[in-house]
Amino acid sequence: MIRRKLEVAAASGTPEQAQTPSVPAGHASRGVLFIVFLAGPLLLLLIGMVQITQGTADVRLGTIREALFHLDPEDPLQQIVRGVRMPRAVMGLVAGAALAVSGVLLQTLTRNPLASAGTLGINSGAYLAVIVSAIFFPSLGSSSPLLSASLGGLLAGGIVFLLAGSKRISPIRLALGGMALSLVLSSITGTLQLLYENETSGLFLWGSGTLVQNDWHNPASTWGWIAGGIAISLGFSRNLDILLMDEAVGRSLGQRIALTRTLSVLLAVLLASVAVSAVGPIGFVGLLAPHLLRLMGIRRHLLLLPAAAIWGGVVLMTADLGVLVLEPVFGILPAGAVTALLGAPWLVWLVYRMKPSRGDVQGSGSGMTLGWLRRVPYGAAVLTAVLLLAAGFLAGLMLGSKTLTLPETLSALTGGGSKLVRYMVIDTRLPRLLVACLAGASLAVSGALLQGVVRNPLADPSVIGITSGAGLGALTVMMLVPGLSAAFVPGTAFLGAMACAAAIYLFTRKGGVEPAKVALIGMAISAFCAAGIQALVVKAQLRVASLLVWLSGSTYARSWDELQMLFIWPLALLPLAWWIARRLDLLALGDAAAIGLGVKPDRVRALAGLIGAALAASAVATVGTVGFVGLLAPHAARVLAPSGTRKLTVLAALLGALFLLLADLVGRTVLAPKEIPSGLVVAVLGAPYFLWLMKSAGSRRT
Amino acid sequence: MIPSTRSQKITGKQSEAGKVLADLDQTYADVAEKMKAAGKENAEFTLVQAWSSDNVPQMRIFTNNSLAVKTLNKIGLKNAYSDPAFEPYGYSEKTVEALPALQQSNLLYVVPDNDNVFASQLKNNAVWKNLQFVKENRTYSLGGDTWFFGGPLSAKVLVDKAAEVLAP
Repeated sequence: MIRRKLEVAAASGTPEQAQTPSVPAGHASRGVLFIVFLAGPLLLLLIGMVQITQGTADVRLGTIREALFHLDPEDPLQQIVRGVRMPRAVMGLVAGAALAVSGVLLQTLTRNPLASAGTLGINSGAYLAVIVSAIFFPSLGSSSPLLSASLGGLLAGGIVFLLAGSKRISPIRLALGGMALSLVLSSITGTLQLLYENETSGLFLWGSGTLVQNDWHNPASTWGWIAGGIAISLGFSRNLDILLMDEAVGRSLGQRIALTRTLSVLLAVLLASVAVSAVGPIGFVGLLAPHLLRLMGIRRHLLLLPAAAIWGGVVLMTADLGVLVLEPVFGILPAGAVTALLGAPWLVWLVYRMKPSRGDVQGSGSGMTLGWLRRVPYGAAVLTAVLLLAAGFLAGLMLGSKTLTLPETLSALTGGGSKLVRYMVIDTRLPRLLVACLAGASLAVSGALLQGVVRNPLADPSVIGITSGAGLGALTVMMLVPGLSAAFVPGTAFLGAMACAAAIYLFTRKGGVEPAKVALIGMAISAFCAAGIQALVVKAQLRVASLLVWLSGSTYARSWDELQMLFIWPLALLPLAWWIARRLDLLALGDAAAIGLGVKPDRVRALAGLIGAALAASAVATVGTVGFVGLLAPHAARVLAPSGTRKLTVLAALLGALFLLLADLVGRTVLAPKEIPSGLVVAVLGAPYFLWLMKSAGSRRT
Repeated sequence: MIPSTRSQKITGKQSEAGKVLADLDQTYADVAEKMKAAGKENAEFTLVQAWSSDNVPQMRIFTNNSLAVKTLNKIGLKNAYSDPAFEPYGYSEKTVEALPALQQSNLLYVVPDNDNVFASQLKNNAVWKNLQFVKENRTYSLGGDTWFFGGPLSAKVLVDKAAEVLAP
């Protein structure tokens, strides 16, 4: 219990508020109330006015007044104000309010300051459902995205709460689980968008939301739901206060608490889903607005909920104003990218500020073992993996747009056969498979190391931000130096990934490299980089078209050149990983014990993190932002073989290689001649496994 | 516009190329005559490609340096739109807000057959409904298969379509 509280405190940066040990204070000063409830609405009005004057057509404040009070239907400017810009401003207000109130509810419910519809995967679930219904039930989808969005949001929320079912789950694990879940969901969304290009082309292209409105349809159809939801939540605000009290008090109140919980989950999901159905998935509003208010000392839900509605509107409308102001120079950015660009540094700052708390490091929070599974002997596991890898490799050489027989393949490898077959086997398929294997192994070992460092089985280069850092690095350099040869992509990606790793290290160094901090800062940096990538893709458009395939993560057309660039890194780094693995094991005993054994925990973590980052960077540099291998391969390895990071790295490397190899094979045979990027195949194949993993990781914890 | 003489030489098809270009010039002349006869000489147009992304109508309004606008100039039409900034691709990306300034002209547009933003997303849009060219039925679809880029064939299709809608 104490440990949990410490973790909550560590995560929020404001210990006293996060623990809320007794009755929530509710003594927000008069000044604060003044700012929140009087200045807030005035600010909304001001932002709204400024926002309406921004855009292609020249609208002035006078035009707004006339449009409101003396409408001249012939005046196109007034029509623009009434028909385009006002709906947009109102949509921002309504969606922001919904997301922020949903965030407050989720945070209270999970007693987790990091909870929000975005971080728990509810947004991505709702969005995926909108896509699915647009593809498979077009008549249903277009008429009521609200229904499908709510179902999807509920499903994703259900999965996360299933995981959170054991109330002891730590906030960070919950947040990491939610982030990982939303990565899975958005990969599936990406695959569907790729496979059903025509059906989904009109839908949110980058999946990060926009507030642009064509008419009043969206604001008109959503505001009622959202206002109603907020009103209902106000109705049981006292029960929400009780939820934050000591668990014992809550338990003694029994039945009503259970009802409150259920109601608030439903409301939170409904509010978020309604927002997603109208504006797409927009993150960080549900974190930013409630945090601001809690920092100002507003705790009682009767005040907190309406305040969150106002300030959620302020946050989202400010972000949208940013979109509008940047439009002439930058093109139309997705609003979700701007909220992430604003919100991620905020999260970094919060975590950076928080007091070092050593309480977190005791015991094995890492969930490194799944004790109830019958283990395969290590040797047998390695042997099986090697055999499978060899079989997969042969299959990879044989199958493709033209399928070869085994004798044909073997003779081509030894220099026989026709020239065409030799070219196919040796010059196109072989290097590609080798790249897939090496990259898979690197990503898997990187994941294994990072999980050791962060002591969380859900950490992975893509969750921690290293993959998106690589993408952002490559894009930035490509933008700054137009006409730079594509040969520089790997180098620049590597720089980006290492810069991210360095940033994570710098921000977490104060008071020791703490696992929880690493995870949080990593998540924030990941979101920031992803938003940066979106912004740059919007800005650069045609110029980076060649990078888009790379960004989606692909082993497409990798040749001996790429292999040459890649192979040196794993060769150098994999032994290093093997070497540091034993030291990581010692850390699992707890920092005090490790120090007693003569290991410097911080140094080991920093070093292991660096090796992991470098491995991931080299892989990403060649195959693009392939996620999940680093998450799935180490877990499969853990299930199969006994603990011990050293053995784990070997087995994980083999499985990672096998995994990406198979993804490559599936990606280029299933829909041949069309190719599905292996990154997407990995995500889709890995999703069921991942869900099972989250479930067992959640229930295992005692 | 004119296929590079070098590619004519490389492929050894100078005579065929000459014939294609002569045919194209003839088409321009014929269509220009037709336009004149229909009283559309020097008529102003706004040339737009539109589609939806994020459920939001996106428009490319073509500028004077584009191939398509130069082609339409040859049949005696004038571009109503000018963008102060130089557009390397020959179009500006705008929203419906850019249209009121152009509402006196004739709107020539190309939309994908299954993604007509003017008929769906913008149908109830207050700005769109009140534009002069919408009220006076001066919006003309050039069909989903007209291409604003490319070579002699796409130029010919463009002017033929323009003639079809403006001077039937």
